[in-house]
Amino acid sequence: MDTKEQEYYNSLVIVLIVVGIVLVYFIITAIRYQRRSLRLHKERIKAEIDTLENERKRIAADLHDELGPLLSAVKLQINNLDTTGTEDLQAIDKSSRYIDTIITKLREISNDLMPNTLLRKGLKNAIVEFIDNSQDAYKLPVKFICEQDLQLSQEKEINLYRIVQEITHNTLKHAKASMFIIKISIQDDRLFLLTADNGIGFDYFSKIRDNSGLGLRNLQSRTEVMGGEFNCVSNPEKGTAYTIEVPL
Amino acid sequence: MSDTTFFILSLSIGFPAILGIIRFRKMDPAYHPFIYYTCLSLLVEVAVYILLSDKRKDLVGTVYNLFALTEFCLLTRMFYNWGLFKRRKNTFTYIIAFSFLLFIGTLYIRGYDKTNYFAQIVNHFALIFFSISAFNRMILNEKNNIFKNAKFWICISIIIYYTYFILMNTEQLSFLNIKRTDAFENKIFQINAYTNVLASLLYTVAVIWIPKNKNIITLL
Repeated sequence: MDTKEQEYYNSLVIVLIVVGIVLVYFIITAIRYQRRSLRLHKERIKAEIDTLENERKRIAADLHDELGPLLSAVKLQINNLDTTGTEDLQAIDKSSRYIDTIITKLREISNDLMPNTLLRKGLKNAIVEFIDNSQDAYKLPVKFICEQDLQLSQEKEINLYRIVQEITHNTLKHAKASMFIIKISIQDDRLFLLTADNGIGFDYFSKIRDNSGLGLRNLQSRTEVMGGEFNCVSNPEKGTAYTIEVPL
Repeated sequence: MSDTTFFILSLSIGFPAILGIIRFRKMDPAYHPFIYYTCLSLLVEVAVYILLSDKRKDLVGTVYNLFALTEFCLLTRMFYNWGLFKRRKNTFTYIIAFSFLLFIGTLYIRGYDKTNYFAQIVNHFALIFFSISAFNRMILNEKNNIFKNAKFWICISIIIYYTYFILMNTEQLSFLNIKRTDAFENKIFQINAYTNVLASLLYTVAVIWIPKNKNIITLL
């Protein structure tokens, strides 16, 4: 190499080293910021979900433990009224039936807010109960497959239950499906929640882009809080399938 | 550094290619163009070595030109699969069409048998910009360990490799009129070869972390 080429080569090597240092610095800072923002994001979502769940628990307990007994007492008082008039008896009977309906509705709302079965008998039984109730309301055959015993923390059970609840509601209300399957399995210390329907499907990315898919964001947030991965495959006229993979 | 040493170093692209072939059927189809790209790179390295051994240096430029155009199409398709162009097929088609026209235009001016560095540098700039955009999106949206994300390794590798490629090959542009001796060319190729090895290693890490294809429709 002549002197000019040597000079050119040396300058090139210096430029390459400088660019290399800048690239490495850029990558390291980007990773550090990503980690910090990820930690903050998870903490924020967790705090939001915890607040929401605690509030639900409180309202469910208030409805069930305070309003329920009060209404039962009102019903008892009405039934104990001493009257012989036909119209009065009819009014008492009608009011009593109304109170029964209110008590049933209160129990349903309280159960929707925080299912007793979930807290007492675990996720598997809670999903079975939820599916039975949904099937009665919407007349869609829902198949639930879970062959293993699930030993999960209460926080994970609540999050997974909410996810199943959200997906099932979406499917029953919008999918126009004739079949819906939910499967939970455990493989290699990871829990897989899979759902699939044969409904009309939707464009996942446009839903997220248009900001109309609040339910979808909710599913993602709950999965993130559990440190899991969320995946949705949906094609128009080919149905929708969700996979949620959560570390145990 | 001899031609054989260059060839041996260039074979490092074989690691991601072979690993990609092994994992091909089980991986997320969005990454298939990337595996095609690594396999094609391997084939081109072998083809160029054979051509140089047979003293058919005149064909090397054509092989590199065809490879550069295919490489750009495959990597752009990969970015499209990742949702970089907001999944608009038209944007993807326009980019490919522009790249094709630029390639044909510059080849027409410079000659079909010479390596088309101008079009390559333009395409590589585009690939660097796509990678930076994908990288930024990932930094914002990735909620798991970024080191276990194949996109991260692919983007880093593209940014490093093509930045170095542009820096080192700008002197090849004919309008700069830089005179070069063989010794100087050899030194430049040495840096190129080492960058190649680094990129291949990063690609290998990327292939390891390519997610599995989640074919969940089979539930029905």
